[in-house]
Amino acid sequence: MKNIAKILIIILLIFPLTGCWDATDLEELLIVYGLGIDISRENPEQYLFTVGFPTIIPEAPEQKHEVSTESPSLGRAKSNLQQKVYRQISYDNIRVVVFSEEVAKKGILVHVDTMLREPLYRGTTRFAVFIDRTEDLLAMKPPVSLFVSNFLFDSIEQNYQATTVPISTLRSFSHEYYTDGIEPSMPFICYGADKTELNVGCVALFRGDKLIERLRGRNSRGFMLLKGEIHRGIYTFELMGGFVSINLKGGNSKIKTKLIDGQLHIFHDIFIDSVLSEHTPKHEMLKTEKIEDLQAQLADEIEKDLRNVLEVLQDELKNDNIGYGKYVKANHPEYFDAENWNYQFSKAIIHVNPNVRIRTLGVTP
Amino acid sequence: MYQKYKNGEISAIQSFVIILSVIVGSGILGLSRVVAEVSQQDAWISVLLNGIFISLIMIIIVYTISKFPQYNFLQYTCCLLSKPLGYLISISYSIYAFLVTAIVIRFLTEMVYTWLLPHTPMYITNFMILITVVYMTRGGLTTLARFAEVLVFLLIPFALLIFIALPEASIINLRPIGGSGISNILKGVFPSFFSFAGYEVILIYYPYISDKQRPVMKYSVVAILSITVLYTATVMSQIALYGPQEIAYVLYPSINYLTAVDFPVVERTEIFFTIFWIFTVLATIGIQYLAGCIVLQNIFTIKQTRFFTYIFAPIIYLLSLYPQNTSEVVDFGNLVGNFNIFFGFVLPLILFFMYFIRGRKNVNEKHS
Repeated sequence: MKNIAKILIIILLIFPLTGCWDATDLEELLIVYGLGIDISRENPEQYLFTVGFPTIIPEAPEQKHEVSTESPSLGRAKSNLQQKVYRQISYDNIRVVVFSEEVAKKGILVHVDTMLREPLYRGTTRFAVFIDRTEDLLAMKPPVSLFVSNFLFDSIEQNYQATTVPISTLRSFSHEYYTDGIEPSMPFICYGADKTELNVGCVALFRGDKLIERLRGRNSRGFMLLKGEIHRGIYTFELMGGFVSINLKGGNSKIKTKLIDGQLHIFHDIFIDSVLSEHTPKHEMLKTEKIEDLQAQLADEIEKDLRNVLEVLQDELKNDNIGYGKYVKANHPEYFDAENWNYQFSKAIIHVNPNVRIRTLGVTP
Repeated sequence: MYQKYKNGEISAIQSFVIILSVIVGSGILGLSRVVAEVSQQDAWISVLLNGIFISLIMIIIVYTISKFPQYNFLQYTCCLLSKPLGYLISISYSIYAFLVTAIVIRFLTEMVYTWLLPHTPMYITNFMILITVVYMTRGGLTTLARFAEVLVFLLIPFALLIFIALPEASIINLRPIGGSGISNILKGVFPSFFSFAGYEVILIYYPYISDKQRPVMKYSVVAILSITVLYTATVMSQIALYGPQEIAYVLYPSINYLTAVDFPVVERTEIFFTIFWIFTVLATIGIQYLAGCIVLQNIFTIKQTRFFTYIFAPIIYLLSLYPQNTSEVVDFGNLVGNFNIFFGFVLPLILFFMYFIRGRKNVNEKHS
């Protein structure tokens, strides 16, 4: 009896060893790095989904490849794409999802649903909008990176660190979409000098899940400062007949709200730490009053940039992408109207007050 | 009369560990969502209030049953509520414990299927969990308590995971504090009550504590308060990340929470969490299952619980496979949760009052 029990135990112990019999090796997977979504050229009702992946096999003529399929939804597209390739597609390494401008204007929630539903999609998968067709974007060969998706991922990170564009992820988009008092925003990718060069320096503004506007240049920087996303980057101004540049070194922002005679006032203080990196007007700066004067002038210039962004958001778009609504909801829940917040935002009086602190002057006085 | 070494004993510290282990289970997965649906950004206040409320119930439970140190569950319910009612409640408790076991096994299977083993049929995962549970419980209470004692240390990394996504979280999502209104905060206590389900096993396990001279009541209350702190911190951090509106769209906030940030070395943090969580839930299942078996053992006065742990395993297996989809699992869970209101709240109160009405006299008579 004991021997039978022993044999049974051994058999039972052997069973779990078979657990990996149908495991898929990494080489047998088709690991998708980037996903692009366009409107189909032939049928505008359909979307064109393009995935970019490394070929892995050393003998392959190309180190990467792209496959596209037309489909009404991402779920269907995944099925179609699988039919076109010989390896099992794995979506859990997608680093960047890029929407063409047309798709973004039409609304992206329909595509995001699958990503939110399936646990394989990372909450940190980055989103961006591209000015042209993403099938062309994913086929590009950036000079400094094998995969355009990796290039975009790193480029977004660099521009985020340079206080130029926000980082929008699957999770942050979902948060901004579902939460009252804030509208989503994400990086907008344009071409550089020509179509072989990419520029991740603009900000796509959404209302709900639809793209409504793009901020560029100083407005992008202003938007980031208003969002309180102050990291690094060089900020240049034309002052006193020359150029003054500061190197951002972080900062923070404080938002307070008040209702004065039924009118909403938003007091937004922005504190910017910086070091002086360029000062072509020939003034000696090693004097406290000179530094204070320069700080005040820089604050005035930054305020102009911030006012420009607020003008776009409040007057032109009537769309709160900064998230002031979350503060109003927290401080004045009786005043906050979730349905009409964007209208309330457009009527609010915003007192924006940037404070520049120059910490060091460099090695020249 | 309760026989001392019939089914193994546990120490007072082990009873503390058992309470910790049985509560931290499947309830934590969707806690923030279900409470935030009612009390919005104030869900953490509801959870905190609920924890304090359950601590009071725990005081009542331990106070009442400590008056019957030599009686098991069946005996003291018979003593306080009459024999027919005592038997009826004991049988009902067993059924309840088995239903809870089945539903928690199914919750665990659903989670494993969704996040870890999407290609493995559910009945296989279910089966693997069940044989583990049977193996855990066949040795009786002493063995299970030791298992829980080892596992309790897993709660430490489990608790630390709360801090993972804090850099992404924002305090503004928790404001206005109290803004959802007192009535909503109180209503939110109700769904959070189910996440604490399981503490009522002390009704069954108390008679098996060998060193009752130690402050069992203090241990039990500290266990509940520890869980309350863990749950409150969990809910606070998750609402600070998601906000009360987005969280409604996240089925398992506790897992999704971990995907919000990229981690060095550990590529998928949620799987790291799941490893600890599976063990914790296994303890929950084992403790509930054995509680049901012990009550049956009390009723049928047989020597060991092993017989029941084997005989009910196929029934539990079939019950856990019964719901057809996630929605039915949730419905089944809510149905079973309603029984928890009786065994975790109504029954302790009845026993407490009956102790003053008739138990006191009986106990005094016995003692004299």
